[in-house]
Amino acid sequence: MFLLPNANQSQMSTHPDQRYLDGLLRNDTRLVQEIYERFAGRIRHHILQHQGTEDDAADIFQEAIIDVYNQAKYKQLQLTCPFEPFFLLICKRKWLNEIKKRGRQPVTKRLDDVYEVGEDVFAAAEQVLKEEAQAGMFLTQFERLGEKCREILRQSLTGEAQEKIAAAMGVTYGYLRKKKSECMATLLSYIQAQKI
Amino acid sequence: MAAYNHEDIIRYEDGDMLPEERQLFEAALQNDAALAAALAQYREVAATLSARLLPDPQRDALKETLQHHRTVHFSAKRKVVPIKRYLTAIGAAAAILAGILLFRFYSRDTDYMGTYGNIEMQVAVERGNNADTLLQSAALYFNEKAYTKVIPLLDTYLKTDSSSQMALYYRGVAATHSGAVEAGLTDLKKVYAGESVFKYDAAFYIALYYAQQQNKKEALSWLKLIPADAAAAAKAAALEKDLK
Repeated sequence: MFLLPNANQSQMSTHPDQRYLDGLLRNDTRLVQEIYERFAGRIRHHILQHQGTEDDAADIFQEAIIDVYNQAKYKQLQLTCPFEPFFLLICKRKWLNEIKKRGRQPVTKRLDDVYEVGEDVFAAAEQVLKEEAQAGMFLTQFERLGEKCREILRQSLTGEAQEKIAAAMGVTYGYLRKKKSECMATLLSYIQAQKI
Repeated sequence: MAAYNHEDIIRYEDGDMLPEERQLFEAALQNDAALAAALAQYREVAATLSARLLPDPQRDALKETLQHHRTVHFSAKRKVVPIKRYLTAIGAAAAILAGILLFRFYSRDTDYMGTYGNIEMQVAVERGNNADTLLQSAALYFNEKAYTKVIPLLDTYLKTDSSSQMALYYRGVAATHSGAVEAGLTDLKKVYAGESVFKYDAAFYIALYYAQQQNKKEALSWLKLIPADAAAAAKAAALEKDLK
């Protein structure tokens, strides 16, 4: 199981493999090399077995690492299970989702056919995938907004004073506030519609 | 949350509500689960967009590192014949298309074998025993295209593990390369008749043999046996197109 900040972290100890997440956060090139050396071959093998190409394998591997980075940095992911099965399962799940997206029928029924995983590993990987899928959906809906809306929201997210942002964008403070509120409300309605 | 909408939530979060209105909103939050959920969602969306849209130099640096390792550990040019870990007794095996084999024995005007028949045998050793050594030696000779040396090694291996479709497949391929065509095709047809991960690779190789022999009819009939979701499907489609 891995823990989010609002969980009771003190009751669960962090796994020594947390070093992988810490290493990704500081762009430790030796650790990244270790991840590639240990796992790239297995992910390549798995994806090539399941209708994928070398490029697919490289993409999935890279995306999975970024997913883990994002979760570690922005969701304070703390690993309480071994990294290896956790990471391999994320890659395999991502590939299964990709196969489905491409409209193909997955060949295998079980993704953990090569690697037996515990419930804690499974839950941790699923949580990462769920969070990342949600973030992806938010971004997709954000892209549906008009250019002006996107720019206003993007600027507003910087934390700069709204008066300053309004001046930089050449609009009045009142207009910016109103427009930001409308844009965000539109985005939230788009997101809500996706969940129904 | 009938009394409030998204814009109210945003005004609340941005501190744009008057004190009295804010007080009422917070009271509503205590009793209205839907409103509380909508507020939580707004916070989640804002936090996610902030994390993903704003520049993250650490992430950019990591992506650069990943890009470097990608080119080292994954090759865009490498084409692979997928092989499933097969039988715990022998561990994993993979077949990779690599380089160009020159088949003078088979050469015709159209070198289908040269285009599609480049197979490399890889063996992952798990047990480190004599059977693994046989497979490793066979793979070494196979990849050096010393096919006549491959066959006796796989013969010996198959005596200890007659169910090994992997050994049968590679022996079949090696046999067709070394002139023992009938024996090779027999092995490959046995593999096709089974249900291993090599099933359709075997069908493809038989088709390829017939294509090289200019026996298009037979080649096409074997290609038709390969389903669209098989690993060999792309190669099969390409060969079929070449033949037509």
